Amino acid sequence: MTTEQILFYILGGGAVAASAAMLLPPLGKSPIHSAISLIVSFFFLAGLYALLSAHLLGALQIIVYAGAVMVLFTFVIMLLNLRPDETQEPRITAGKVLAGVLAAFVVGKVVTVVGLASAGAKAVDLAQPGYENFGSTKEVGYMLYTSFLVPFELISVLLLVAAVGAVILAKKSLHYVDRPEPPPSVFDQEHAHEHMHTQSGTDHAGDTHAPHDANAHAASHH
Amino acid sequence: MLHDIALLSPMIILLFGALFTLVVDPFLPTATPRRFWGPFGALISGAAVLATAALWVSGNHEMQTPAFAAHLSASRLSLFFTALTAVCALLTHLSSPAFMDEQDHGFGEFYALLHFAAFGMAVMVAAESLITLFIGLEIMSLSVYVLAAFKRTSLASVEAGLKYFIMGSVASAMLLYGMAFLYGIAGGTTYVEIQRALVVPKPGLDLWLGLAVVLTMGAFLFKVAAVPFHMWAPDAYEGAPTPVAGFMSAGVKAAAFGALLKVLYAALAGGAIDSLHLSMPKMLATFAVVTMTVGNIAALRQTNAKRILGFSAIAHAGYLLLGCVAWVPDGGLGDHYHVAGAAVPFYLVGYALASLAVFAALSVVGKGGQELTGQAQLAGLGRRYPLAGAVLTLGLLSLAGVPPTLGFFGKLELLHEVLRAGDQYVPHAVLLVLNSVVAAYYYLRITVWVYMKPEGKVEREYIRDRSLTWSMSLAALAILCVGILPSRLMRMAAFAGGAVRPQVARAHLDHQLEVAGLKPPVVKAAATEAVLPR
Repeated sequence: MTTEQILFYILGGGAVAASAAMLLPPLGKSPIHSAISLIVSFFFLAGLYALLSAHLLGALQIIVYAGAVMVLFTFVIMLLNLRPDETQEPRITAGKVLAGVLAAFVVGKVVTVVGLASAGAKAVDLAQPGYENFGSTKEVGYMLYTSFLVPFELISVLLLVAAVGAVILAKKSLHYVDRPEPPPSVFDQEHAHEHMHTQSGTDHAGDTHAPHDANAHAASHH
Repeated sequence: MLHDIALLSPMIILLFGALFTLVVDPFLPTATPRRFWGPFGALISGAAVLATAALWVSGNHEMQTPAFAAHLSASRLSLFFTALTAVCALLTHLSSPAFMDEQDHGFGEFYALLHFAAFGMAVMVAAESLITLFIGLEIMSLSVYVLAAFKRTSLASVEAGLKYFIMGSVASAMLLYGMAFLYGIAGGTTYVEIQRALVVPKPGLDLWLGLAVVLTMGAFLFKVAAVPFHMWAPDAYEGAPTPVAGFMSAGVKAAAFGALLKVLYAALAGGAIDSLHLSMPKMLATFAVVTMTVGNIAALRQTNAKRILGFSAIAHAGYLLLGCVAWVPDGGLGDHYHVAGAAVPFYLVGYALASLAVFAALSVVGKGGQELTGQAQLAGLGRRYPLAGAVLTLGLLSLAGVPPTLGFFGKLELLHEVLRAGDQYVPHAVLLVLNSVVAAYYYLRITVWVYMKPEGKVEREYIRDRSLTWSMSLAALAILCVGILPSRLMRMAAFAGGAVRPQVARAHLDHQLEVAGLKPPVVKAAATEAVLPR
């Protein structure tokens, strides 16, 4: 076993373990622990990229994903301010067990196929000509602004759509200032709880449903 | 360069519409009603359709700059589907303003997102590489998720958006996973590179290819709402604002099938895939039959028209999927218009127009924030609002495949093609016919609600709006006129279908590649050999 292989198994195993920890209890029970597991998994992935000679990608993985994106994730989780009863594990049902078995079957199948198909695969010799700049910043930048210019520009549209969409769904009220106060959005958790408490006068600790449009229900009685 | 940009003009027009709406809307006085963005959007979409038509007529469909040619095409197939999705956007722009205002959510961003979704669809169907396809798909999907959840005060709408979002994300992840394997096999992401890598079967390729194909096709089954990935559709259609549901069932389906055809017959068309051909068409055909049956049977017991149409959309995905599978290439462009490959594009036009007509007509009951479209809401529609009742009925008849509507010829053409594809598809064709008969029951049931059920004591109010009337009339007229004189559209669909068939496509694309002086980079080619076992 070469050093590269040993490193690969350490990094790959670490990435898989961190991903599993993200979803499974005990760490997976709390969103913030899941987020931290995800960061750990990103670091292992960055190591794998570096192992594949994609140094820039590895660095970007840490700076952009483990750094910026994950900080945003954790901020969002903190801002959501989840109460303990909202993070409780759901009950295990027959359907979920069946889904788990099927998922395990699919994962097993994929692993088997990958294992069978990759038997005998050979490593690329990066010493041969044509590979001198492989994975370098210059090479990646060159690709990005020549043969991948169109997708690169399209991504900007995608990001714009995502930003506009997020603002629309998350904004407290879309109505303009001189319009009357709209009913609370179901995304607006804090507002929704206040609303419920003022209506009922009591504190329903276990009741997390936001009030919703009365129309849908009122209309069903027509 | 300029030539290529001219070929992209439909997309540029749609993107301009989106950006213009986004930029101008905040500067308008707050008191100004935003419903004028609807007709404006229809004009923009109409301009995109005209640009597509001009490109179609001009006949020069090849990108010249390598950077463009590798990722986007303006082939007849792309143009056909771009025009179709732009028409969907046009009709949705016309049918939305009154409905969204009544639901108290008529904001400028709604129309901007409609433009963005149409732009994403145009990118998807024009994509010549997996990466462009994926970005187009995501632009479309993100816009449509938000459109589905746009009525934020309604739990149903938010549920629709959330379900669609979660299911769609899983599908995207699957697609990416499949694409990663395809990239590993081909060493490149463009359809041409994939096709070249699959020209000759190599030992050990089967397993990788099988995995890649299963994952990619699974993701497409998700997007078109086919069994076993169909469960999100009825909830999403039921909860989404009615015009958006129409756009989802028409535009999204058209774009997804356009992209699926290109992936199936432009990318995965090499000789290596033939070893899988023993199982892949059979598998997809089975899924197609199960999809149509499940969709139709489940629709029988529903009580909400939008939910019925959600299941009907599943059934139609089954019909179309069978059309895609049975699209066996026969080589060479036939000059007769009855060549293979016309059925799916042709059927999609009929289906999209009928869906848009039906959902536009259903949206008239959305007065005062009303969201339900059950028997109670629809009873008496035929008497009190004859136009809406008539358009609804016409659309439903077209979906059921009753002559002389466009839906009838679509089914006829589809059936014809399935039967021509080979004897192994005879049972599938029989099931398709039986399914159409079953479907007629629930389509006609909605008609019964509209015309024959007691109206109740309350005098119901309907949305009556000029642009909505335009939308309904245009869709209904198109269904009738093209249904009576279908040959021109059928010829166009045959041209579109012909543009993708493997032999033709391969020769065409190889030639294009040579002309463009585009070769797979050395690094990629060597990487391919390393991945493949010897």
